[in-house]
Amino acid sequence: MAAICFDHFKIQYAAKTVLAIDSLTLTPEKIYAVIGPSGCGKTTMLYALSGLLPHAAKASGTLRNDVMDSTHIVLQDFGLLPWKTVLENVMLPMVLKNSVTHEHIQSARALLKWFKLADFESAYPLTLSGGQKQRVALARAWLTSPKLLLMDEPFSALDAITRETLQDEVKNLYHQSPKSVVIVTHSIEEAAFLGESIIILSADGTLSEVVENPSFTLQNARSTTDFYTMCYELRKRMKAVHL
Amino acid sequence: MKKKQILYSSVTIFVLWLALALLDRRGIIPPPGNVIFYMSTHWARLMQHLSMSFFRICIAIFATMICGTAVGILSARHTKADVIITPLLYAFYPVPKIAFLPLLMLFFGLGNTSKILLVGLILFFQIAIAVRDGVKHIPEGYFLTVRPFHPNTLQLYRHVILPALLPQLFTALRVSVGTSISVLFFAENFATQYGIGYFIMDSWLKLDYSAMFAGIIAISFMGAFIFLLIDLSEKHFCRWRLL
Repeated sequence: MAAICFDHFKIQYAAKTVLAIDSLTLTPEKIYAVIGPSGCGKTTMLYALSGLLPHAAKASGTLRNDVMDSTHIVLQDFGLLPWKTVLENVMLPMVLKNSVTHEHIQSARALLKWFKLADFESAYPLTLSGGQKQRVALARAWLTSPKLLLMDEPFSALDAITRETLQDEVKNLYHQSPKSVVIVTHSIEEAAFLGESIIILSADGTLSEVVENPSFTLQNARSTTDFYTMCYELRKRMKAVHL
Repeated sequence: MKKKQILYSSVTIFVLWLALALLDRRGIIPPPGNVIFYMSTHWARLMQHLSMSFFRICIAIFATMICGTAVGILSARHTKADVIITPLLYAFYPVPKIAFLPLLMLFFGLGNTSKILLVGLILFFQIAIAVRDGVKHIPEGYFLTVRPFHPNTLQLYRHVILPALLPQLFTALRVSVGTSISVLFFAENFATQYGIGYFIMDSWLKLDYSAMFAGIIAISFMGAFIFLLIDLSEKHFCRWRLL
């Protein structure tokens, strides 16, 4: 099975260590939520996993990602090109890999329909709302059917209701076609809802702990006591690493 | 609204002109009626001169758009090329290119080439510098979006750099077209029998003020027409910006 593991992995920007994970192995086909105070290297961790680290970043130790070729990252600002229509944006990975087939267009349309964007196929991103833009980015992510899906604070720019709807959609899609997912977030509720395991990073970029989340599998998790207990636990641990 | 604006400005110009013509006792400013009469009787002659000027300016715009964009992109994207290009751009940009007309005529003859080259020289620096800055300011996020799909250079230009650059290029074109028409007017005063600049100066020497004014109106309309062409192409190529 595909494996992702960090072994004494360290990233520095100009002598300042932003991420230092001694040992962490991610199990395939599981959703991980990464949470931690701002500036703790959450985004850097995703960029390292997707090979998007800037040249200025110095990495040492090992980070093994066996599915690097099949890794897709959903960027914080949605990563849409404003001069391409919704459908063109979803098809972008296929176009750049010169592998556009009729089936791809069909499944892109099906995904857009699933994300309630069927009528916006030829709209430009500037005409869309934040939630719609994020849905386009998610449709693109699922079209490439990656083995590892990375999301960088995917719903942070959205209002509460849109955010919860999209979280539901992501969870449903995950149950339909399980894949390894790493979601970086600064929201405790989001981590408790979407994370099967929750990785807590400390302010100095080290791994604090990995918490298993029993409320993940519950139906309507948000209205269960388990969910709130989880949030409470996470909040307590977050406060501890914040100092 | 737009029609009202055009009507308003036309009427204002007409009334001001009429007033000036009535006040002017030396007969330099002909009444609008005389000029309109001249234009309707001599339109073939006017068009002949105008089309020559239009041809020259179009070639200049088209050629510099290609060369200027190429140099601008090269300077923005390749640090090594930039070391050579930027100092030269800065050294030559403030030089009044119009002073090179005699030199250009000595090297490239009295014909069209030297006139087109002069206009081109002036356009070139403005476009190259605007493009260079435009490319440098393309948000990093657009590159991050496509980088995981490993685009080749051609794809990078086609899907990211050129579309991101176009709005900047159109602005630069609009700014420089005004200058280039003035320069063409100047260049057409030498060694030519055709061109709207020649026509205006020739009518002036013949003291035929109705013809001179007809020429001035014609050159203004040519400027407006080129502006309209730029606007229309921008609307087509940058329709994603909701212009």
